[in-house]
Amino acid sequence: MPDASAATKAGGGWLLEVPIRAPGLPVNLWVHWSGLAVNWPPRFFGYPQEGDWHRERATVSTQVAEGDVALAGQATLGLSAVRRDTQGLLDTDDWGVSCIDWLDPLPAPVVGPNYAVFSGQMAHRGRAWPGGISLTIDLLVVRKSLIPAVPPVHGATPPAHQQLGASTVKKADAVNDTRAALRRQLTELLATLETVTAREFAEPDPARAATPDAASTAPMVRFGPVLPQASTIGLYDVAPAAAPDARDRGDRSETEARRTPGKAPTSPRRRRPTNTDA
Amino acid sequence: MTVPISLDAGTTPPLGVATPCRLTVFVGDAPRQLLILSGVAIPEWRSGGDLDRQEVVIRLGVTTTPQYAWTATVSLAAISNDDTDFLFALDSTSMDTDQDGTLRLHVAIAAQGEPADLLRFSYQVHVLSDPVHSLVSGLISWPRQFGDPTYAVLQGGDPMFRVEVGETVPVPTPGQQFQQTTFVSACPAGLSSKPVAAGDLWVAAYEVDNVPLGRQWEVRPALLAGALAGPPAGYLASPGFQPMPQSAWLTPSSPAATGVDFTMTFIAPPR
Repeated sequence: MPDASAATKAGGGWLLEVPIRAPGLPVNLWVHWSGLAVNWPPRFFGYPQEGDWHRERATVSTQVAEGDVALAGQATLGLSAVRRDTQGLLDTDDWGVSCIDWLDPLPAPVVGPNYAVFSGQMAHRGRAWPGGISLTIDLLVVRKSLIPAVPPVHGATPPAHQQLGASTVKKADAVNDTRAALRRQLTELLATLETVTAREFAEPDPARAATPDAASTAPMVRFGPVLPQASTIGLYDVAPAAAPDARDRGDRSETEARRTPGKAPTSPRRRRPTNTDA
Repeated sequence: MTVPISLDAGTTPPLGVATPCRLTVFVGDAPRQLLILSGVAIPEWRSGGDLDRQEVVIRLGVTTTPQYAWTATVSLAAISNDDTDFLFALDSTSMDTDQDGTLRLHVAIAAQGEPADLLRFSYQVHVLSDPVHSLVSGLISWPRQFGDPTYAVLQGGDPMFRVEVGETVPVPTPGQQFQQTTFVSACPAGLSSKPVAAGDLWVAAYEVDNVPLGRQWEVRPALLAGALAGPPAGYLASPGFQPMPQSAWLTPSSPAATGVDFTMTFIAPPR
């Protein structure tokens, strides 16, 4: 369903690596990734657009670095933006979006360098599709470089010859101070970039101002900041799913909302009060 | 007040939850237990036309200690609408435990449309607590040059190491010049998990549960017979473990030691 351009538009996301241990698994690192895949192009050309649900298999993948072995993992997807276009007189106006019907955990260990791939299923009906998706990925990893030749004695302080001397401590403090200053500058630059970007998108696009739905396109665009340490992530199409299984529940409206192609368009309904009316 | 929609990620098969996932890790020193829970909830709920609200309760299928901290993130996953004004919302989340201690995630949802279906939402929950029970755990690694685990370990699920927690006590030996000692276990021994190859190392995890609190204990691993296809010729058959001794001291405020690691080595005697 999504295209590979989402990989670059995901903005790199944010990455945490936390030393951990896990019961029953020889792991020493928890890798947590979060990000947004944003501003997907209209992708339904050539796809069915009527009022039935159409499902496709999709995968979410992230890199496992060389020297790492991912032994367990899970991923989460959510809608961060939805785009929907109205349809013609003789077509349905029913619409639906599922950024994720289900998403399996990591099925088997992955030895880096390779990709940890999570399989799932997405769906749409009508002329609607996810404009943006929020993603998180959690991997439990054994990283060989974190395993010392001889482990330290548990709870013991390092022996004197392994402790840092005063001059080394001074240099380390200076490095840490510099790193903190650079981090502050990076934060300020990213904040400035976000502000400028938001201002640019807030200005009306003269080329689109004449179209009635121009304003609705702006909120779908959001660029997340990029960290140098960020991993890459991609969303890729795979072959269409076979017959739906038990996990394809939630299709109550799929049968109920079917319309005949020749049905006349519905008349405008009275607008109901909303959350923001109060 | 409508009755909450009840879903259960802990049953087999799950009730109204697609692909519930759970990761359990220990973080920090002293270690704390972190649960990472995620899944796709399937409330399949329909608005009647007005801005309707509903509570969804997801039993997460895990228990934790009475004192815990949590975060929860929920996102729309599947929505559907006719050609009407619509609104879909996940308004709030909260967490509590059931009478049996099972964690429950409460999510307030809302929708408006004629009809508007909030079919699915995804959730991710982090729960930080003390370890549920006292334990000593760690990694045992060894260079692949010393040999690979046997088929019975890699494919048959046999354990590779046995790890005991206890203390060395003197044995009364009247009349003898040198005092003898013996190792007395403080709790049932733990066994290692299936080893994993990480580059030129093999790594296995072990865990010893229900370790008594309040005393310093020795931790002693042992290689089980028939578990290693090795060592190669020229090495003594019996391995050594470094560092030795390893010890752990558990207390009520720090009831787990999770980084008690060892390296297995073999010695080649001089010729």
